[in-house]
Amino acid sequence: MSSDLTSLPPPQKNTGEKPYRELTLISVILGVMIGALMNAAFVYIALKLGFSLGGSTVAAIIGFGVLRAFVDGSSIIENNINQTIASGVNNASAGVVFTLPALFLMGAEFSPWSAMLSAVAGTFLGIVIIIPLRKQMIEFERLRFPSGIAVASLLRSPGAGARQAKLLAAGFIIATFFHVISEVTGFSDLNLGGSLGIPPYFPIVLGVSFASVGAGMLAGGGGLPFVAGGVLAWWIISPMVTQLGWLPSPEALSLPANDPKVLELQGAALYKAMLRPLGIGTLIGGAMAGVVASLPALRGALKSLSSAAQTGVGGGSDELTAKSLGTAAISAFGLLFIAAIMASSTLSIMECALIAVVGFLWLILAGLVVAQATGVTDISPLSGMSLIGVTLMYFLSGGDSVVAVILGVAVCVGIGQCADMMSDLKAGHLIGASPRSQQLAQLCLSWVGVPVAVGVLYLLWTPDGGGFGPGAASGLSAPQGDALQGILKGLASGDAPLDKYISGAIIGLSLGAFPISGLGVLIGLAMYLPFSVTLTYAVGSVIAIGLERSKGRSWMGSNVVPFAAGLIIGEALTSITAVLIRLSV
Amino acid sequence: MSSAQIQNLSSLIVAIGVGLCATFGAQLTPKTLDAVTADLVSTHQLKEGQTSESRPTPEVEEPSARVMTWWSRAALPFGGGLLLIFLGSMMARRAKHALIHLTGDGEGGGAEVNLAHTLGVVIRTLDEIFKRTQSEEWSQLLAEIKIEIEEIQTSHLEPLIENRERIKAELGMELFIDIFGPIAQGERKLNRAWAACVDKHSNEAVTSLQSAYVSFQSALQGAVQTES
Repeated sequence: MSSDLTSLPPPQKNTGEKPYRELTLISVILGVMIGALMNAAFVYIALKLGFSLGGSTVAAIIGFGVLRAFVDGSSIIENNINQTIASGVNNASAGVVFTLPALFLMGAEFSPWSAMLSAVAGTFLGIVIIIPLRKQMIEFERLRFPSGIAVASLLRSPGAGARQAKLLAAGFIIATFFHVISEVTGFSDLNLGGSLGIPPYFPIVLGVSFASVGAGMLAGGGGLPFVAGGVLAWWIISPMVTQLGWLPSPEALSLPANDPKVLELQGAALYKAMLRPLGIGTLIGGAMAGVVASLPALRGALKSLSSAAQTGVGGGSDELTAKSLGTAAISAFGLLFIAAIMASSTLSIMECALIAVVGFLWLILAGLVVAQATGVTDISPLSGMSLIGVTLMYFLSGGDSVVAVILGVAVCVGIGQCADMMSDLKAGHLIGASPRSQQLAQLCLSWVGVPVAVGVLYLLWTPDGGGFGPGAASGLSAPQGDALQGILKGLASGDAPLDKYISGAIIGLSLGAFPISGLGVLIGLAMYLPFSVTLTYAVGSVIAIGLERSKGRSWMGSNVVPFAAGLIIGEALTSITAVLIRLSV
Repeated sequence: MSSAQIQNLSSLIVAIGVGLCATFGAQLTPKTLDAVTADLVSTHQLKEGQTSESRPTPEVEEPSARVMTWWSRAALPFGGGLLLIFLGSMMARRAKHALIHLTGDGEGGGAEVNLAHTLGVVIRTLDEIFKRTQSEEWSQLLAEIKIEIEEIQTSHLEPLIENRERIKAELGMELFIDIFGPIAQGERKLNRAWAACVDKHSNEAVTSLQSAYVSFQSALQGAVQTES
């Protein structure tokens, strides 16, 4: 048995050394500035193109440059705090821009303050509900969080050694090269099945995305259930449903039977009306099963959090305390409740309270789904989960679109924060950051992104048609907001695929009995996504499995991880650059 | 039949069950199919620049009526699929339990690692590092210590973490959490010491290594108690 460390005299300490830099003023200021800038830019991008972008890698690289160049004694962990704050502040952009424009487009009257309050409440709630799951997801389940690993690889690069730096650079160059080609030529999918004459209801399509390959490589064998879900959805259910004649017939579509457009339209019906809502239901059921399965670990985590203030051992002092989290959760719930009251002119206080409670509960479940899905695949079903949230609010409010969207903003922002916080905590774990500092930084500062996102939205909206409103003179079509508006109109006419949600939820729940953690969420996610995404990810998984068998696990850590991280970083940065160039031209 | 074969068979049964459930779960009710078709036709005509024909908009079912109609049509195959999922899952649980004891990770991929022995090795290595700091200038050792930390991570901690499924099965969830919590904390503190070495911050490297040592000691005590 080893000697007791405490019996040894302490190693000689360097008395002239300054304290190690972690949560510093410069990291906070830099994080807020980078986050706010990315937030404003990404609101614009999302209004124009319909998707947003993650900013962790950008923040880490800028932080690396600024901190190393201008701050004496800056540290890897200080940059992690900068990146945590920046991505948290940026996160509100997606949540706000996917939901709130629907109200502008519908011409609804609402108070911007209620939207702002709701989004701030969502920001706080998303962070506090996911923190108790850090131990379960990162320390016990060891979810991969590929973007978190990529960011950690970037942060560790100064000490990772020349070989790993070269591998990171190689991945970066390959992903950048192919993504530039894809952007220039507009070639985004490789339709292998089409070129072999295989019908589209049995798709063999690879997306030109080396980030997906990288995510699959980082997940390795752990990503196989997700791949299996895709295979099941697209190579079994799709042909079966087609052959059984359950899709719109050519006659009903008013097209000749041999018209290639028939298969295209049938494919759209299969995806939008069948697999996607079924996938959303399965995600929900899978998350509920996951909650039940992780109850013992969750209890352990809460016990550890509650002992934080008293003992300072067992990881307790490394986390925000249960009391702090509880206070933040209650305050945020209060904000959500006030937002519901402000948004509605007809609902009673009790009805508003009920809506706020259901919104809060939905946020917890959806946050778990998104964090679990991101943890394994790096893909977030954010829009699907937000859509269900808005649908729930719509029914609870008796068909009040304003209340539904305003509270939907909280749900969308909150679940985005769940995934972002967990990914940042993963990166933090890998470089040894204090979870408490990260949690405190994100909790105290992420709300800054809300006024930035809502402010930019108002700036870009002009009711006379100059912005993304009717007329769309500036070309800002707000596709996600427009889609949500369409869905709200559908709900008003009673069109909600409840049968698919329920059948999917039963499948997801039943998969909780299988001894693979999060199986329902992964199968649901695979149904929810187009198959090109899943198949490209599968390529990465298969490569990783092959390499692991031939080279061993430790070789994977020192070679595949930096290379795959380079692939993810390369594509993320090239995407952002390409979008900015396209918009400026 | 071996445990691995039973595991494969159970996965196949579950896949068939999910396939059945999902296929019949995806089935649209006649009215929904009409509504989806009408929507597709109008979208298609709009895309092609054709003027939309004035068709009557199909009636959409209420969500609850839609559920009832779907259930009346799909209950039998959907229920059969559910049964297969449960049957396969139970078989898979038994097979995985047996496989974990054979291979360590339940997937046949990792060699078994002794928890207490590995923790002892990690603690002894940290001890060696600290002993050296008594005689040598600590700040001069940072580059070497960084390499030693990497060695601990790859040679000892990673195999231990790969074995967590077996350890969980042996200890039960509560004991697993009690032991693996400190291990994960020690791992994080080692990562922090590594970062401090790269940043050439000797005081933080000392503090973090000490914290890692305490965490691993705590995990070892738990492991020894469990064994005894």
